[in-house]
Amino acid sequence: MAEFEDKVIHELDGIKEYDNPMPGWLMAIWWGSILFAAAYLVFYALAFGEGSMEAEYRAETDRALAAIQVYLDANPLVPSPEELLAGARDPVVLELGASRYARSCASCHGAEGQGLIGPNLTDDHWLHGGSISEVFLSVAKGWPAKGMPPWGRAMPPAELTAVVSYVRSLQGTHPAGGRAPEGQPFTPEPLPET
Amino acid sequence: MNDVVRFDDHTPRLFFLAAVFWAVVGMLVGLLIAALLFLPGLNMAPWFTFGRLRPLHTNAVIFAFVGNMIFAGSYHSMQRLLKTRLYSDTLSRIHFWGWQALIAAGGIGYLFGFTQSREYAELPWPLDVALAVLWIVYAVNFFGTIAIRREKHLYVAIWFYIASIVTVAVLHIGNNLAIPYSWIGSYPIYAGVKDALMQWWYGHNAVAFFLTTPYLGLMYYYLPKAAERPVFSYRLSIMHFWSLVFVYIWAGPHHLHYSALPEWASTLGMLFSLILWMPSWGGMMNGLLTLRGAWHRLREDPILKFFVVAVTYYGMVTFEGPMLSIKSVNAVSHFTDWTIGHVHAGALGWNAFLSFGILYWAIPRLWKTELYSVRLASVHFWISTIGLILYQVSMWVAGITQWAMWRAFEPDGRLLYPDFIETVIRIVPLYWVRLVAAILFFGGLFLLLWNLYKTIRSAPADYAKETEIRVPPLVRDLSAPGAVTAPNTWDHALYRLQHQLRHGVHRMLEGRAGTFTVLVVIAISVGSLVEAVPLFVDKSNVKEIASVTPYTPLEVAGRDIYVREGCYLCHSQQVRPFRYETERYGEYSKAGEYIYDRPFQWGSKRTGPDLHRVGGKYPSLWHVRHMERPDSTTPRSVMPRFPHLLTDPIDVAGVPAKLRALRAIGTPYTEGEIETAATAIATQAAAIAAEVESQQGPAGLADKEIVALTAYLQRLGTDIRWQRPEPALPLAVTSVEP
Repeated sequence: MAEFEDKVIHELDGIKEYDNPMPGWLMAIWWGSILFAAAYLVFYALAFGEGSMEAEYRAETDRALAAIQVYLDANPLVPSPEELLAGARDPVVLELGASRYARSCASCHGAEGQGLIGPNLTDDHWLHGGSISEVFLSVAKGWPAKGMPPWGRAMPPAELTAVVSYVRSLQGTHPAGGRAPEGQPFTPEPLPET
Repeated sequence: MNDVVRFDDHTPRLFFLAAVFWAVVGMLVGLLIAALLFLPGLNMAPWFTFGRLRPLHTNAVIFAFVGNMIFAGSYHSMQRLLKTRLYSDTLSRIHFWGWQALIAAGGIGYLFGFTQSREYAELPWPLDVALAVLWIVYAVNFFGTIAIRREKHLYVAIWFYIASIVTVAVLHIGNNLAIPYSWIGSYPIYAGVKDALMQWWYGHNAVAFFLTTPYLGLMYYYLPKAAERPVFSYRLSIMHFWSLVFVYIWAGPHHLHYSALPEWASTLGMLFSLILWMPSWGGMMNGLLTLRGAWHRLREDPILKFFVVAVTYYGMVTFEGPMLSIKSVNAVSHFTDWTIGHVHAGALGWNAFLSFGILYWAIPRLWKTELYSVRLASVHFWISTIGLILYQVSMWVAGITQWAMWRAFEPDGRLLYPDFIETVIRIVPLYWVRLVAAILFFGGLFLLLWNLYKTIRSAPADYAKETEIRVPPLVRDLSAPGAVTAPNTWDHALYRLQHQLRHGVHRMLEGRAGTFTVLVVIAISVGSLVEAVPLFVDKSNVKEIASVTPYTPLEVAGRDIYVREGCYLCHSQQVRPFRYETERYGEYSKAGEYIYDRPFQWGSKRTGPDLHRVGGKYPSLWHVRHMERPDSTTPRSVMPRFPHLLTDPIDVAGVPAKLRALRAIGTPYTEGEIETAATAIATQAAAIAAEVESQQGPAGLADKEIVALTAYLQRLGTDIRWQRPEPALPLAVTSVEP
C-alpha cells in the first residue's frame, strides 16, 4: 500500500488516526451515483410525469390480453354435453376429476359432495340449473356474489371438464350428513351406456 | 485532586450483561417463530401465535439487544474518548432499569395483543411515552458528559452517537403521534398513505440510526482498539459521516414502490438509496483498511474475525439495499422472503457479529480478567458464520421462488399457481433450512454465554474498583492570542477565528458540540421535510374517491381485532399494479381508498395472500370456518387457528370512545352515529350471524368477535367498483348450449 502516506494526525485514548486520501474508485462511483440520480430525475420528470405506473400497467395488460385472445382463438374449448356425460363413466376422467375436486371443491362442497359452506351436489336440487351444460357454466364462470369462484380462470381445461363429469357421477349417492336440498328439482340427464 | 477522573464502568457492565440476556431472549423467540411460520400446529392461540410473537422477536433484538449494546458501548467508550466520568450516576441507573422495564412490559404486552401493528413501532402509546422519556434521560446523560469533557475534540465515534441520539428522538416522536382512545389503545394522527410514508420514514431510519450509525460509532472505537492499528482515513470519516446523515433520511419511501404512495416520493427514495451506496462503503473501507498490518492476527484472534465479517457484511448489505431500492428489482423482492433475508444479513451479520466481537473484547477488560476460552470463541465464530450464510441463501432462494410462482401464467391467461397455498408449500423446505440456520446461530450464542459466564467468574475480587486517570479540566485555549483577556473587538474576533481554523473547519467543529449537533439536526431535516410536507399540503397526492366512506362501528371493532392479532405480518393490503396481482387479487389499490385506515395495514411480507380485495370474495361462513380451522377451507394452510374469536365477545362498550378519537382526527362520524353505535353494531352483527346460520353454519355468533372481524374483512376493498379486465374467461364457454 505504497500510495498511502500513513501520517498520524490525531491520537486519543491510544487510537491513532491517519489522514489517507479517500479511495479514488469510491469517490468516482459516488459522483457517478449522484449524476445518475440527477439525470434520472430530469428524465422522470420530463418523460413520465404523473401516473407512469398506471401507464405501464395498462400497456402490460393490453399486450397480455391480445396474446391470450390469439391463443384462445386458436385453441377454443367447447365441450359438448355428450362429452361431459361420457366422462362420468370414464375411469380416467373420473380419477382426474376426483383429485381436482378434492383439492379445490371439497373445502366448500364437502369431501363427498354432501355440501358444507356450498350446496349439496349429490341430491337432485340445483340453485343454478342441473343440466350438465348449466353445471359446466356454473363451475367455469362461478357465482362470485355467492362465493363460488370462476374456476375457468383457475383450472386447466382438462381438469375443468373432468370435475364437471365427476360432479355428475356423484348424483344420487346421498352421503351421510348431507346439506338440506336447495333450489329447484331437476331430473338428471341419463348417462350413456358403456 | 481536581485532576482525578474515575470512570463509571458499573453502568457499561450492566448494559453489556443486559444486551447478552436480551440477545438470548430475542433470538430464542426468533427461533420459535421460524418454526411457527410453517408448522401451524405449534401456534397456541391466543397468546403464542406468530402474529403476537413476531413483534416480541423484532423488538427484543432491535431495542433490547442492540439498544443495550449501544448504551453499553457508548457509555464505555465515551468516558475514555472524552476523558471524563459519565455525567450522572442517577441518570445512568434510571436509564438502565427503566429501559429493561420498558422492554419487558412491551414484550409481555405483545402476547396480550397490545400493539399498534406498525412495524418496529408496535409499542402502545403509554410505552411510547416512556420510551421518549428514557431516550431523553439518555440524551441528557450523554450531552451532559460531553459538557463536562476534558478532551476538546470529539472523536468520530462520538459524532455517530450524537447523530443517532438526536435522530432517533425525532423519528420516534414524529412517527408515534397518536390520539388515545383508552389507557392502552390509540390511533395514529396520520391515515392511510400518509401513515405509510411516516411509518417507513421511521422504519427505514430505525435501520439507519439505531442499527447502523451507532454501530459505526462502536466500530470506530472497538475495531482500532482490538486491531491496535490506526484508523485509515480521517477525511473519509468526515465524508461518510455527513453524507450518511444527510442522505439516509430520504431513503424510506423505497419501501413503498408500486404502492398507492405518489410515485415522486418513491422515486426520491430510490435515488437517494443509490447515492447512499458509496457513503456506506466509506464506513466499510475505513474499517477494513484500518486492519492493514493486522491481517496476520486474523488467524488466531476470533475478535478480529468477528469484526472482519461484520464489516464485510455491512458492505454487502449496503450494496444489496440500494439494489433492492431500484423499482424493478423491488418488484421482485417486495413481499417475499428476500426482504427477510436482507434484514437478517444486517441484523445478524453486521449487528450481532460486531456485538460478539465487542463483548469478547470488552467483558474481560471490564472485569479485569482474561477471556476464558479463545478457542470456544473461534468455534462460536464458525458456527455462526455457517448459520448466517445458510439463512441468507435460503431466504434468497425462497424469495425468488415466491416471485416466480406468483407471476407465472399459462398461455391461455390463467395463473399457473392460482391457489396461493401452492406457492407457500413450495418454500417450506427452505423454511426448514432457515430453521437449521437459526439453531446454529443460537447454538453459537449459547457458547458465548458460557464463555462470558466463565470469564466473569474468574474476575478478581476487586474488579469493581474504579479506574482512575489524571487529566486536568478543560479550559479555554489560552495560547490563542487575545483568547480571554483581550478587548472584544472585531480585529480580535477575526484573529481568534483564524487561530481556531488552523486545522480546518471540521476540526473546529469537533470542538463545538452544540454547533455540531445543530448541523446534524439541519442535515436530517432537509430530506424529512421535502418528502413529508408536500404529501400533507398538496391534496392531489391522495385523490379523494367519493364512494369511500368511514368504517361502521362493527367494522371498527373488527379492524382493531385484525390489528391486535398482527394479521399484517403475513397478509398485505396493497395490490400492486401488475397483471399477475390484479389477476389474482383484483383491481390494484388506490390512495383514496385508505383515507380512514388508522393505522395503515399494507404489510411488507406475504406469507399469505393479499387481503385488500378479499371483501365479498367468500361467503361469511367461509371466514368463520377459516378462522376456527384454516386447513378446513385451505388444505395444508400454515395459518394459525384463532378459535377464541368464535367465543370471545365483541367489546361493544369500548367502541364509542374509539369513534370519538377517530372523529377528533378527521373521520366524519356524527354525534348521533357515536351515540347509537351499540345499536348499529347489534344490527349489522345480527345480519352477518343470520347469514352464517342460513349458510348452515354455527348459530349464536352475533355478539362474538368473529362477526366483527368478518364484517371488516367483507368490507375490505369494496368501496370502489372494479371489474376484472376482459376476457373474463379463457374458455369459449358461451358456445355451450344450455
